[in-house]
Amino acid sequence: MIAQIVVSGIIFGCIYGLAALGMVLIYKTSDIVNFAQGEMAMIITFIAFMFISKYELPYIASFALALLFAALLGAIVYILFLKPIQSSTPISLIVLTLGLYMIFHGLAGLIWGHSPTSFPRALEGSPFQIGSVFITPNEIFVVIFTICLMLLLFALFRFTKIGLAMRAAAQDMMASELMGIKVTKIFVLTWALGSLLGGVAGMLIAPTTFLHPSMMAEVLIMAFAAAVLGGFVSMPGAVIGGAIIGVFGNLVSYFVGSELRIVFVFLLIIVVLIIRPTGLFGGTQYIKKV
Amino acid sequence: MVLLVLAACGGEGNAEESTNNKKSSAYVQGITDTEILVGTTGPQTGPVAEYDKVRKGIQAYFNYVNDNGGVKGRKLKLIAYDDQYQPAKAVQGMQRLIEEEKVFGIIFPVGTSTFSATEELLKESKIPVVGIGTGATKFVDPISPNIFGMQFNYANEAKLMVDYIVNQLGAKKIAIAYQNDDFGIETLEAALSTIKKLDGVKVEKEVSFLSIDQDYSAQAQQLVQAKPDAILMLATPVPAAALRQEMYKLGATDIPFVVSLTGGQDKNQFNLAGKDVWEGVITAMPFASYESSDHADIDKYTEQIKKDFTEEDLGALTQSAWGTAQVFVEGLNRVEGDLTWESYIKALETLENWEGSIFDSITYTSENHYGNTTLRMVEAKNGNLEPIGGPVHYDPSTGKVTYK
Repeated sequence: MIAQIVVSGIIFGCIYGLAALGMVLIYKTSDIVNFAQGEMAMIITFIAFMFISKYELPYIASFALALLFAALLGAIVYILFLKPIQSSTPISLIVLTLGLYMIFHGLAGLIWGHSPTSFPRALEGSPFQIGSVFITPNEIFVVIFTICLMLLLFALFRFTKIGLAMRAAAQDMMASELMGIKVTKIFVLTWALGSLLGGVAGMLIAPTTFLHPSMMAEVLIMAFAAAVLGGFVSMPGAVIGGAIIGVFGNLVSYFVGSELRIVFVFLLIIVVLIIRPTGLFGGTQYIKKV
Repeated sequence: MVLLVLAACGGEGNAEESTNNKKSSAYVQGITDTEILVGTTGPQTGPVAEYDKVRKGIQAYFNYVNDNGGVKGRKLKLIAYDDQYQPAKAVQGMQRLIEEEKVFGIIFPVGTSTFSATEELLKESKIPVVGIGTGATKFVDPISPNIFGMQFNYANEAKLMVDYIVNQLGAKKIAIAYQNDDFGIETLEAALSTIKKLDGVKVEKEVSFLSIDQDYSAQAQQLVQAKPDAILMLATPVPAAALRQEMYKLGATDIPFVVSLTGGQDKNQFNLAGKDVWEGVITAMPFASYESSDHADIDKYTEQIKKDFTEEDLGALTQSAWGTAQVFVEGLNRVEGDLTWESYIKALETLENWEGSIFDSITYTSENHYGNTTLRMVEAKNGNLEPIGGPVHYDPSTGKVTYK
């Protein structure tokens, strides 16, 4: 029975991790905490749903088109809203992304309404049993997909020129510009990628939370928790943080009560931050920035 | 608290004002020679905007009445404010309806917490409030002279469902999954008190959740582990669909799964949970659904909703609102002499087992403002909620359940 609780926690944790990956990517490169990440994910999921239900496209085509939209949305959000005030104070940037949160939430409500609706799974198929654990093909897909994305991003940052440029831009914008890096281009790319990751998280969690404008509210909180636990600058940290939160939260739900899940999750984060102020995986990067 | 006091003062002033209005214009507020103004508040946007269907149902019936000559020559006009299910906005909206719009009456204000916030204001103002959109006991027992229930009372519903589970399904070990809020706790307590009185029946497991929860795997595990004869779920729609999905995943859909009508009566549950997943769920409806109803007026309901809104708006919420609007209008029709708040309330209290609406029967007396006390048990089958037997009546005074 505990095995089932742990496995379910890992699956939810992957979704939290996926949502956190986009946030970490944006923060790591452009130093902006994107509070609108969840709402952007929700909008992208609605777009995917529109392709599926209105234009009756297959799931994969809708998924791909929605991701294309996601990349555009991320790029446009950065160019239109963030770039003009990027050199402003951190508080202005926070207020701006919070404003975007409200705008996206309101717009989605106006366009698609607030009634929850179902969203198809990436892989259909009946649940099956492995040992004492019941699992669906879609859940296996979510875990594998998340791990692949995490490794891909990790490799992008660590081993590619673009990754190097992203890291350089994050360290010192002006020096990077002087060294010939097109910082704006890098930031546009980062926002496009971040938005795309959010979109993936939105589309993968929508079959469980159901599709409605508030679907990402709790996911965003847990994604933040995952990102903070992981150190906020580490890709594997975000996903592992998500998994820890998913499993821990589920164990609390089972043994203590679901009402105290979020409370215990944040207690865990406080304890971790007291012991290790830079999060589980944030040590080196944090020191570099200082 | 300050808000409530202010609201209460506002309400009192308004009652006096309405008397003044009567003197100057010969009519109470909201009434003219040609029009009756009626107000409502409920979520039109926000997380539970699904309930906007209530406004649509009322509006559709008002349109139907207006198209057919109105009420004694007066047209009905509905003013609906969006409260986004937020108590503060509900109070604001209600105050505007009574004091600025000067409506004659309030119909179907939606939500327990939102109604709770406006209750004092409404009581003080003495404005007739018909068909409150909550089944919470505290609003109808003890009764307030101007507040009339309609939704099947939550506590009575839980008692009726326990009776059904024990006497019709033959269950002895019951597991209860409840939403940890005012609604869930009230129904849980009612279910527990009923089970306690029954010999040989016990609660095998209680599990709770919050309406915003997303992961129900822990609860599903606990329920399966308890090996109950039946599960009673006291919840709103999204958690009901989500928990059922987890039960399906664990292959535990053979355990009878009985869901309170708040969480089960809407056909959108098939869409949310999945048709196969929702199959077999037992729930209740406050009336026979429009698809299976043989009520003489049911075609008028479907035609008008389709005409004024869309086919997707057909369903329990608009049907319930249509029925409530029927009761509201029946009260107006029964008024003899001048139409005042007092004469209207008196007329409403003459409804005794009235079968003229799409509810099975409605009763309002000076001692009973419950409104609807009859349910229909239904089972999810092939994408439909198919009736199980006839109307089931709960007598609030004796606690007796009668299966017709």
